[in-house]
This record gives sequence, C-alpha cells and structure tokens, in this order.
Amino acid sequence: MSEEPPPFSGRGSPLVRLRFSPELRELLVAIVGRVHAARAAAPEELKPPALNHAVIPDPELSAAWAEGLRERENYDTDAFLGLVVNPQFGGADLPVTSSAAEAIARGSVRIRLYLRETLLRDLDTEEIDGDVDIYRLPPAEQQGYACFRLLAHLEEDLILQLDPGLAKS
Amino acid sequence: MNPPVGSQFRPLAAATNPGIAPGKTTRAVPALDPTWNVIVLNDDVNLMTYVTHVFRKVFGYDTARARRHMLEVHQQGRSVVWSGARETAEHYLHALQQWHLRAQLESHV
Repeated sequence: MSEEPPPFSGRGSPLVRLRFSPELRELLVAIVGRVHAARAAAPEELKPPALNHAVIPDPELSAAWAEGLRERENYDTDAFLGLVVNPQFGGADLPVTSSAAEAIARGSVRIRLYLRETLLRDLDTEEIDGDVDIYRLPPAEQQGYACFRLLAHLEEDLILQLDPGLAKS
Repeated sequence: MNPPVGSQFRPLAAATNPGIAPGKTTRAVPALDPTWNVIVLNDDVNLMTYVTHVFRKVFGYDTARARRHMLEVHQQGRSVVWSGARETAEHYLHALQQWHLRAQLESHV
C-alpha cells in the first residue's frame, strides 16, 4: 500500500503568484489597514469555547486559551502584513516558506472573516460565494467584496501548493 | 503543540450500590469517563480546500478522510472530527480555532 504524503510536501517553496493591478493592490492595503485599525481599537474577547453550552469556569484556563490564540494571531498578522506591504506583491512571484504560507493563509482568513462580519454582513451565502451583481453594491461593499474574493484566491493557491494532493481529490 | 491547559474534568465518584450485601467482595469499577467530541461547524467564509487542509494538518488525516469530514461540514452543517479524552479534545479545539474554524466540544458518557 502506498503511503500518502503528508501535507506540505510540495516541491520547492510555495509562491505567492497573484497578479493584479496597482490600484487593486492599493485598495487591498487600505482595506487591510482599516481592518487591523478597527480590530486594534476594539479587540475581540478571546474566550474558551462553550462546552455543552457552559463556558469553562476557570480564569486560568481562559487566560491561557486566549493567550495562545492571540500569539498565533499576532504571528499570522505579521506574516500577512509583511506580504501585503511588499511592493512586489501582485506584480511578481514571491517565494515564501511553508510556515509563512500557512501564516499568510490564516491571516487572510481572519481578514475575510472580518469583512464578512462588517462590510459584507448583508450578503447572503450565495452572494458571498460569487452569485452577486457587484455593481449593485455600494462602493465600500464593492471594495470589500473585491478584497474578499482576491484573498480567497490567494488562500486557495497557497493551500494547493502546500498540499498538492487536494487538487486531485 | 501542547494542550493549552490541563483538563478541568474529574469523573463523578462511583455511586454506592445498595444492592451489594455487606462483606461481599466486589471488584472496583472505574467511573466512566465521558467521550468528548470535537465538532466543526459550517461557515460561508472558509474554503473547502482550506478546511480539508486544516484537518490534514491538525489531525494528520489522509486526504480522503479529511475531505469526508469537510463535506460533512459543508453539507450537514457539522462534523464530529475527533472523539476521545477531554484534554486532547481541548488541544484539538484550540488548534482549530487558531485556524479560524468554528468548532466546539460536546461530551457523551
């Protein structure tokens, strides 16, 4: 029986290989900057999850849980921002390490979750999946939606490079 | 990655059995530990490939199993992705949250 390769067995470094216009890059940088500013101004409360609808009644656990999530998120945010502010992003292939590619993907998901909860909260699931007339959206939502789709493409491309077996399944 | 914290759970003490005559030798029966299920819930942001990859990465599942769980989440709204001891379940839950999946724990005796 042949053994399936583990994730991250792609040959060579993953590449960030999106191509888009400088205008779209500026928009993305602006949106990401707004998201991070908003989150810094009103940080989320990171709690342990409900267990059978009862939150774990332990302050020590809560603190450790939140700290673990925060550390990971800070790492991912740094990796993601490092990419976005790179002047070559969108214009050239950028090699990244596997762990950086993972962090960028997670950071990107976090941005899209935030966009979904704010600018794009009025869209239903079909619309968020692509079945939307973007021109009927207000300008701010159009911009948010463009970033949402672009980042989804970035995540998909990175994941398929990290885990090439997923493309065949 | 280590579990974030120690488990809070302590099994309930075994109830005394009034049907056992005094003086009879009985074998100690360990209290049943509940099984904790790690459940992933659907959302409309995370991509199917991303979720499959997370299951591969966090649980070490092969592609077929990871994809089966992903499809269950997508089509049925949730999937029990792992079951076992609470401390390990907490560790997995924390890892899934770090990847921004919606997940929760449930216990079953």
